[in-house]
Amino acid sequence: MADAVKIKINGKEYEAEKSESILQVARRNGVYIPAICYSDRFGAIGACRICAVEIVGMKKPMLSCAMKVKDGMEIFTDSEKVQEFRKKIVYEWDKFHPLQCGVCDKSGECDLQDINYELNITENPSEEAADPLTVPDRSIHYEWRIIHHDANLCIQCRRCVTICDRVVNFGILALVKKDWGGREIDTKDGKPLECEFCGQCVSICPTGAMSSKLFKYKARPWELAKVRTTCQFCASGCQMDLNIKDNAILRVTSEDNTPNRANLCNLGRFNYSVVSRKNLIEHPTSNGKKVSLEKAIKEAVDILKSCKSDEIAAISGARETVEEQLTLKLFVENALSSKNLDSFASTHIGKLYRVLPEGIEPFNAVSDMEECDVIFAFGGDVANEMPRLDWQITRNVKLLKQSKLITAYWRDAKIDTLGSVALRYMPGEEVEFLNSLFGALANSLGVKSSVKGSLEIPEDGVKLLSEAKKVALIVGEEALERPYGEEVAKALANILMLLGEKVKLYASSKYNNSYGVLFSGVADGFDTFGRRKEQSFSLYELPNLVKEGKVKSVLLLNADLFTVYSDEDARAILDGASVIYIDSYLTQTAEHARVVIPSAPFSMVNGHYVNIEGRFNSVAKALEGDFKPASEILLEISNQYGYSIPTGVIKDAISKASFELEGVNKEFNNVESKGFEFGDGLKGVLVYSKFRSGIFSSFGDGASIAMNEPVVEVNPEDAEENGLENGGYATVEGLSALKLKVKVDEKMPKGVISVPLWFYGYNGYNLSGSLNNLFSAKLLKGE
Amino acid sequence: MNEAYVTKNEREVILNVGPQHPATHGVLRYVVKLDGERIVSSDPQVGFLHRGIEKLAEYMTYNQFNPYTDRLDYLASMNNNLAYVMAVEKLLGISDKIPPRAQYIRVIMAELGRIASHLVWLATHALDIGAMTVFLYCFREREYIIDMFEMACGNRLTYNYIRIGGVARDLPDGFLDRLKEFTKLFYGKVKEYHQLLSKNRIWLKRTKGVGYISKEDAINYGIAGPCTRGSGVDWDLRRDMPYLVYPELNFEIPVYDEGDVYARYLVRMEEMVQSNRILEQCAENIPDGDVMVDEPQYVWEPKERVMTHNYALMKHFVKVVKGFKAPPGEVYFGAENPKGELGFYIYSTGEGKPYRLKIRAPSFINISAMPKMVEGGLIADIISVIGSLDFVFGECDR
Repeated sequence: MADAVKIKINGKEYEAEKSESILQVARRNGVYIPAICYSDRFGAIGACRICAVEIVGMKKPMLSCAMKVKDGMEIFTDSEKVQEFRKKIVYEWDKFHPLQCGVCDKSGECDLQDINYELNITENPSEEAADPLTVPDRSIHYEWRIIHHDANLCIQCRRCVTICDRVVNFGILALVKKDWGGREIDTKDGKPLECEFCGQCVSICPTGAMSSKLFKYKARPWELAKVRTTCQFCASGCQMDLNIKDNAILRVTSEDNTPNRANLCNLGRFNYSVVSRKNLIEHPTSNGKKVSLEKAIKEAVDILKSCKSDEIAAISGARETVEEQLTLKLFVENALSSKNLDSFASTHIGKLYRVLPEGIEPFNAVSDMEECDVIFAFGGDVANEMPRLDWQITRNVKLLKQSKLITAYWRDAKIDTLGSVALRYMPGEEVEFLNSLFGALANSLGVKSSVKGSLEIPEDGVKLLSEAKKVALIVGEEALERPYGEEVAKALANILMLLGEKVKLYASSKYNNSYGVLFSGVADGFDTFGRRKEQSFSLYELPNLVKEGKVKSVLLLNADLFTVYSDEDARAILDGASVIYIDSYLTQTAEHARVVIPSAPFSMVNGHYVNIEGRFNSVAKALEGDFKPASEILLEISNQYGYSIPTGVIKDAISKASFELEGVNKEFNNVESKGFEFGDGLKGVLVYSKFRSGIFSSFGDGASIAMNEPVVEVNPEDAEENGLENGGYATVEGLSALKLKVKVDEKMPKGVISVPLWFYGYNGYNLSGSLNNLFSAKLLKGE
Repeated sequence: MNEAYVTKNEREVILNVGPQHPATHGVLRYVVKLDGERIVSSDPQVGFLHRGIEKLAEYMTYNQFNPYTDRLDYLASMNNNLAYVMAVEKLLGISDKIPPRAQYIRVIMAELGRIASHLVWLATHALDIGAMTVFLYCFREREYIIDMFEMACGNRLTYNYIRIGGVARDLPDGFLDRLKEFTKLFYGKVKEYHQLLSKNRIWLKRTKGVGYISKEDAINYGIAGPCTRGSGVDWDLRRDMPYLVYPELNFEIPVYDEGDVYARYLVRMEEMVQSNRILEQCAENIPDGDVMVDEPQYVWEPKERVMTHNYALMKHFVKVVKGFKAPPGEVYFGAENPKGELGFYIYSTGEGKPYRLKIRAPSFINISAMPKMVEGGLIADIISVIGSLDFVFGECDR
């Protein structure tokens, strides 16, 4: 150990590092020190003072969370003096703390209850000295939408303020002075809470002051059974516990020992109601009529049998478990003998991993980002695409202060508030930008190459990147989903190759099992275990193939067509081909498909999701229901088709649980930048919202309460030119038109507007065309 | 393999007694190897009523486990409550602080439980051997005791009355009067039983010299309670490792040296009389006062206080949901139960739930001495030995 010191706690000697606090050393060695405000998620605050310990030679008790260890320190954690000190603090907290344990949601898992029990407090001298009638009523915030805040229950430990600031990096909460003379937790500006609604403040609150409105009065903590599972809303693979009572999910929690450090975003924590009955497909249908499962399966088999093998295409929505994906793969390749198999993952990460350079580690643990001294985030707003990555960056930069941040995007985003070296380009210039950066980097590293670009790259960014010991390269989904995404991937591959071994790659994805798709070989260009193979079929071609009559039947597994195609193309596929749709959620595709077979949603299946780290996270069945998993449905279809799928092969593949995905690219690519030709109007960009991942996520309460309609973001100057006001409505015209609420944002570059994807009823692809996220836009004032 | 399962010659026959047999007092499967009517060897098989109670305890707070102890020896639930609660109190270090009134109530309940348990023993023991009348007499008096239990706690079989820190509630009005009435009456009743059995020729033939176990064997097998005291071992935890207010009370420990079924019969008959003496003294001497110790960290506080005091309410929630935090350490406490020494061993790591809880069940240990007792005897002796060992399978199989 570097800088090892020896300290004595309660007479016993322990080894410690100089950089550690007393509390950390004690906890590591199983010595109990109570602490309310301290959490490993964000470090010491020093607000609660309950962790005070007696140090020999010091008069007053010292805070063990903030105090670093010194050689030869002698510490007593529960001497009488310390206990008295702690009691006095708790007396203050308890002073007229409302007698509401009986109706308070927190009761039973409340830290204030625990500390009262621990210190065995039976009466409160500070309460006896005061008159209860003089205690002012504090505010109760009913208007904070998902979050309920009752300041009367607050003990002002500032955990919520700290987690909002240091972990979430939103920093909207503060201790604010109030009319009655004291302080309360409130928003900094005093307006109703408008934030990410991640509920981190609810999860960390020691008392019932912060609580979830979705959970309030539904159940007591001790009635809930917890089932550990993996979140279904993006590829972060956050581990969470579904809290179950009477076969329903009532809330979602996460434990400190999870890889995501108990952090969950809005979708993970509050959007659980997406699996409630009203959002699920109830029964199988055929041509819009209710039929039995047997009949629907028979119908599906008949459709498939009536087509030649190359007339059938199958698409996976990258949301199902790896087991289901492998079943689909075996069915399509062996039973149908069709090569027409692809997945939504091909729209982004598939492009990058197809051109991954040799020697680059394809997957890295998110926590390993802490080893990197430079973080380079390219091509997307990380905070919207993957909150877990955003929070890991925040931890590196803000909390641990050990990394520098470089962002390359077309606008200032949330992570730029951490203090970044901002490299900017305009939408459509991604390839040009990457080539220019490559040129500058190659120059600075002394590598000879012909790749060059025309953009000027600020020197400090290049210097940071070329001098970095370890670089975390975060690739945004947005850049890869551009129509020229393959060129972007190649240009990125050049940079990866240039940085070589010192780079750690993280490619964000909004689809929870898009990495599983690479493993199971459902995505175009990949075979099982992520091995490479020839590209044969792409979902980009599907609308044309259907229109030309080359594909007559389409098998969709969780692939809601409206997630990636425009309404026009999706309807063309649904009308032009016989679509067999297997999914859990009542999406638009389910309303129009020829045969619809409901499958069990993620809360009712056992299986695995593969996350951005390449980890196989297990998904556990938490609810009972009469739905069959998609794998069983596919097995049944396959049996009737005349092929029995070898399930042993699937089990073996899962138990191996490791990729054989290796980089192939050996030489720098020469990438021509085609860019995108915008018209005369504004540059329109489709972006992701942190409150949506796929259209089905609109169905949940958490997402829809946090944000129920999409907003078009506009630069103030553009807004003025077009006569738009913040909060008003505007018609956005691209290929077709959408009427959207306007948000005027100074951070938007002039001449660019952004429209978020995946709001139910507002298909952004209608503006840009299928599988494209750029369009030339016009803004018209709406009423 | 146990030799009871292997025949050596064609004269020998293997016979299963139980697990469904009216005289096995529960689900005992008793395998005997016979040579004619003579028992060559035998083997008791237990575990048919296994519920994993010791394991269950590891997933429960200390208070939650209390009702489970009722379901060990269900004929003496009060005594089981007592032994468990005393073990936990020893762990918490509050044994000395139990209010005197609570201690007296505990002794009253324990001795009433002993009499009730012995009455069922006598009733069934006699019934097995063929004396029907005794059964009716015994259950008549037992009813009297059960009614008193019902007065005190509302239940007639599983009481959960003795709680960590004291007893659930004070004795109701009129309880002590009924108790005095009972003690006055009970001496005569015991005499009635003696008249029916003690000099009865059939009874003597079935019990005298049957099921013999020597003093050494009784000690070596580790059997306890009335079974050992019938073999001349002068050992009773109430006197030799005293707890509660037993040292203040005047009673004798009956010991007989014959080591047969009849000796064990006499021990229990005499014990009922001694218990009655203890009850008489308790009914006279019981002091007034609290029935629950004032240790809010560990025991339930009165409902009125919980509903009106913040701190009581807060702690109540912690105690209910997470359980009170017992100090780390290990304890063993054994109490003199009607069946013998019932012991609880608790290992605590400082959590709200025990890390390990082991029950020393007297029924289980007493059964282990049975092959020794019946060896060389007649097949009919099994019935009278089973009766004299007085086991309950809820406790044996746990």
